[in-house]
Amino acid sequence: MQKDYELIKKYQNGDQKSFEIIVKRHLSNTIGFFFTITNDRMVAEDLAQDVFFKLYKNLKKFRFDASFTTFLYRVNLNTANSWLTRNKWKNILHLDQSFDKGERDTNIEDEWKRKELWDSVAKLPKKQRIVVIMRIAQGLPYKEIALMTGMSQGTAKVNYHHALNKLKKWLKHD
Amino acid sequence: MIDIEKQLLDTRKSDVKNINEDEFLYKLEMRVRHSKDNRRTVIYSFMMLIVLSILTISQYDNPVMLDSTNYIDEMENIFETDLWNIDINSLDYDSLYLYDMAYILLEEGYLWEAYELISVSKSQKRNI
Repeated sequence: MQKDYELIKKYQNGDQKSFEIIVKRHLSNTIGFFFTITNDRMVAEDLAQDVFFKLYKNLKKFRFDASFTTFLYRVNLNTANSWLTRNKWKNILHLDQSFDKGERDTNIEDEWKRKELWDSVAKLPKKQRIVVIMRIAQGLPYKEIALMTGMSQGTAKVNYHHALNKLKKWLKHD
Repeated sequence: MIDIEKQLLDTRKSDVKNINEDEFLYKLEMRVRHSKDNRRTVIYSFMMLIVLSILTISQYDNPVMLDSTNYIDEMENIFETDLWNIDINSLDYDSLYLYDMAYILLEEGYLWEAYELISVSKSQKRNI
């Protein structure tokens, strides 16, 4: 199996098929990442389209300073962050709607809880939000989060714990 | 593990099944093509704008070219196809011609011939 950097080199030399292989290789993870945040398959696919469209345009200038996976995480993160910010007001309005406790459908209840959680994540300050997205949706270790965000591992940990405390407080009150 | 962290981790969907990769790639290709078309349209529009601007700027301070218009008028006069010439007295043109002829004769030294020519024209006018 060809490695990512080999495929990127080929793509940079004009081989479009290599790009298709890269897309197919990382598609499932990317959609999964966005599905975790949006809980909407269609939206997740649209955001994944955005990511790969950005890659299509920028991969020709990729200089191999970092690994491709880190680069992809970074693009994913920026796209997710933009989406969360765009939908912040919409999310706030949705939080105002009260959930009918009378309903006993566990699926709906789970879905509502998930939505409530991620809507609350959207309300976090930017740094804390980034760390939470990377840690939860992408499952990255602090070391890699620190590398990608430019903050120290300690700062990443502190931001993460502050974020969790805030979420706990908000969701308790709600 | 903090309860909230567990709740968040439970929402994680690292792998999504049943993805139609070909459809995804087709959509991506269409998007890329659309973007390229848009880019081309913008570039062409910009180029057209530049060409139009250059053409407009290059016309500043240039005299209005009316030669062709005059030429058409002259041609119309020759063939008498212009309707606005109908009211013009052709005798005025004849007298101008006679004066020119008389002037030429004077220049050439034919004094009496010039006098005779003018006399004839005057008598003709009187007769009319």
